[in-house]
Amino acid sequence: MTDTNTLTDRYVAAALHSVPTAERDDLERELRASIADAVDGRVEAGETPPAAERATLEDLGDPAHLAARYLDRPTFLLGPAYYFTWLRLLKTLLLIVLPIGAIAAVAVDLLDGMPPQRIVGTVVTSVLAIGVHLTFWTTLVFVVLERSGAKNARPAGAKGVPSWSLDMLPDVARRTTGVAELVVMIVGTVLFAFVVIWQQQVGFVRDDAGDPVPFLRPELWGFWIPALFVLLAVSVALAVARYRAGRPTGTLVLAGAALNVVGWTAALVLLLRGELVDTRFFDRLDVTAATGDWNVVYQVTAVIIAATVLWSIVDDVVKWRRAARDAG
Amino acid sequence: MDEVTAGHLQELRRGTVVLACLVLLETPGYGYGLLERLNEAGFAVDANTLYPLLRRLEKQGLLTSLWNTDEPRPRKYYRVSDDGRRVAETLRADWDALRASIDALQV
Repeated sequence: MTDTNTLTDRYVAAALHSVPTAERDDLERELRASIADAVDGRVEAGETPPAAERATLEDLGDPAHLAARYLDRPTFLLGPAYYFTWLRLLKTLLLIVLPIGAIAAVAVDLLDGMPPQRIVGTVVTSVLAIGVHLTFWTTLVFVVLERSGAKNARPAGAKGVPSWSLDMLPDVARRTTGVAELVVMIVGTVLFAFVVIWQQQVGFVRDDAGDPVPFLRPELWGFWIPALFVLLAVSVALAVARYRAGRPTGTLVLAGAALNVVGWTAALVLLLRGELVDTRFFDRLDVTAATGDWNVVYQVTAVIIAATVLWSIVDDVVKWRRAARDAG
Repeated sequence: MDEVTAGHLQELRRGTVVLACLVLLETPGYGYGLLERLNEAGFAVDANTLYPLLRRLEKQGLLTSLWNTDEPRPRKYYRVSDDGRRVAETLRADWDALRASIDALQV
């Protein structure tokens, strides 16, 4: 050691650099006195001074750990006071935001005119990036809470952080909306969105030049198909909310019905006005001649769709009434 | 000693150091001196546990402190406060009650 710094100097500096200045002088004097006392004790017991200094400091252990104890700071990132709140919130956020993000990414890429094989890549990257950001920032907020408010106001009190209550228990017996239903709904919606994109970009019907002939009229990309993606995202959010509630609630049933009515009314109006389906698609398949008048086909389809939508709304209302009766 | 036993022993002893400090500091004492007295009295405490503990008890108002600069090496002396004395009495009463409960288990 050619340095003028002794081991003790270096140890004290390492232990106290994170201590607020107001406290540091007092703490440094005390710590130095304690170390010197311990070294003296060991020297009296027959150790050489350098060995005694080393042994004393090794006894005190990692200076970062000692500093944390002095400051009464947690030596973990996220403790038990916030762990479960953090976990619940993060799960909810990821379940809601990731599907919406995926759909939004697809929509943006399509508006940019990106080819479908590249869209898959950018969607995966976007979803990963959203997931990482969401997780990081949520966790960071909780870590800050842990280090600031946590010391004085443990679990229940901290502002804005919901504490656990009996009302949060999932309703096991009456749960009518399972996780499987939710996953099927989300996967189904995402697949549907992909099919809508795929039929435009790739399709399975080609014209003479080998270009795809879409099923839906290309003009719909101007407004209607982006609007459809927004509706799909909202319906995913509703399904998640319904899963979280464990059963359909009045608000959710109403919102779902409204969504169905808005979406399908728009689709039916477009269909009946001949603005939804690209008839060239059927021309290429040689089915036009067999069907004759398109208006009849549209009207029959419209009646079937309207009946299906009506039935699904009635089914929802029945489920909701039953759940409400069981709960009441 | 295996890890499980060591862990449980540590849990069991955790609060006793506080009580011992509050009782011993009826006579003023400084960090290293108190460490020696505790070890002699049969409380196995580490320096890196005791020193932060003393400052925490002082912040909680259970100990008061005073720098003694009369000696060549200035030392910070701690002494139990009235609040500290009351807490010590409560802790000791609880310790006695626990002791009685545990003894009663062995019937």
